[in-house]
Amino acid sequence: MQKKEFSSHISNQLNRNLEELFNHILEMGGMVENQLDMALSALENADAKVAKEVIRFDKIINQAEMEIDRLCIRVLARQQPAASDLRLILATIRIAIDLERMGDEVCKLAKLVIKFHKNDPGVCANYAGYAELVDITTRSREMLKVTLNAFARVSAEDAMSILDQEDVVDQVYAKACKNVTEQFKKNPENVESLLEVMTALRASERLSDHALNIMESIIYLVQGKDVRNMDQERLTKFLEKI
Amino acid sequence: MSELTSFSMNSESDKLSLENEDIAIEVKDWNLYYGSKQALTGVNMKLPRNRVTAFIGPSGCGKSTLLRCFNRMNDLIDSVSVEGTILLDDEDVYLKTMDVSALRRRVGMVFQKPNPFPKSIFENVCYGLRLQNIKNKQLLNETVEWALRGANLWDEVKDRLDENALSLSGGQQQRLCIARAIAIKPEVLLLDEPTSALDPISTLAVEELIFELKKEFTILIVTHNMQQAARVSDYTAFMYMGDLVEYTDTDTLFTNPKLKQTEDYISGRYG
Repeated sequence: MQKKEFSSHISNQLNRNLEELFNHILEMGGMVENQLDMALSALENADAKVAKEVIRFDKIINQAEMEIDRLCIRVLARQQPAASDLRLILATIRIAIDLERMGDEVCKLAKLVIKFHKNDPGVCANYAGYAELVDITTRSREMLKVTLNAFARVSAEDAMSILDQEDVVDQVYAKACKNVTEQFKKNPENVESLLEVMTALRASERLSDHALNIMESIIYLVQGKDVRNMDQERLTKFLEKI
Repeated sequence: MSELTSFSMNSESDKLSLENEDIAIEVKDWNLYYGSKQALTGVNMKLPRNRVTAFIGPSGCGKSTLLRCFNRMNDLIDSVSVEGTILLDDEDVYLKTMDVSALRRRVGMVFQKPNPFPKSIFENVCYGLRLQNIKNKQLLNETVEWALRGANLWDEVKDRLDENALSLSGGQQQRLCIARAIAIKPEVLLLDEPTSALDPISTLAVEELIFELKKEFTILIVTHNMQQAARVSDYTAFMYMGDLVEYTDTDTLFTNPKLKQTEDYISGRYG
């Protein structure tokens, strides 16, 4: 399947609407990428001002999701899309939900920066798990970029290339959890801050999960196959066939 | 971050609203009777210019009857009597002094079955112009080409304009009838089930044509096919037993109708 198939209908209105949906997803994805860049910058520089901007920006992302929903409803009610067009609508709705949730998770990272900044400006990096937090967020940022590019090219193969990254994220997350747990034991007086870091770690790990969901939606769009909830073995077999 | 907000988040404000439209036709307290049987009851509506308005509803609900009121086609039926007012650009269509032929030049019509005359393709399209006694060959040629291009048929027939129109396929014949109707440059185009005799691909071609034609004409379409109304129209009127039940922009009617009766009909729960 190629992207041009979405603009080859007799109805120009349907062509326009599908193209609009396509571009909306890319644009919304771009917004989340930018929000993630800002959050990373806030994390690395313990910059509460940028972190506040991240939270403010989330409202725009929420609106983008609603706009995409409205357009999907409109196309479903008025154009009766079929086959790959119908899959595009469903994939679009799912991807918009994942992007919106990514925006929410990014806000949790920003809130951590704001909280730490208040308590102890400039010392974030000293907390256990903080380095891993930046690492996971950077990797999730890369995964999002790869999936958005794959969506733009309507390529299931490109989307699947994030699977290796997801494994690395899981390993780093496990390591971070271990570090933080050890710190819990060693410095119980820091429990509050460590819990904040845990929450942010969880949020950054969820970012990669959402990128994975987007990959699944792209596979569904391109192959018409629902790979959600497939165990690793079946998924590997399926991916080998593509 | 302002450069990132180019995302169009204005669909609510983009929504069509009759209040913001230029009105071409206004129907006021319109009643129509076939003998003693009332077929239309107190219809009030404003039809916007350069938009497609679709009429949907079950058989016998009065949608075709209403459509035929706009160019007084019902005058041809003896038993018909009417009450109320229909204004075309603020001019009363049913005034006794109204020149009905002139009215029908302003309000063209295309019927369910393609009905080309047994003449050449060229003569079919310029028939209305010849009736107006236009003889200028260049003008006729230009208008025929314009109308056939407008009806998205030019490329298919430009090399055989002298051939009999009946040699065309059903879909081509219907587009020819649309070309014939627009050749006299009416203000309003009435389409009464224009695609019910056509195959799905020809139907989509005609629907696309309707979408293009609204740039120049006000289009009113009666269709049994709800999905077609959803695809082509800007506004939709749902009629039932001679009443105009709900009339609003097509987005709203097909996603969030006000009345349960409309919801039941468009979601197939009617009856």
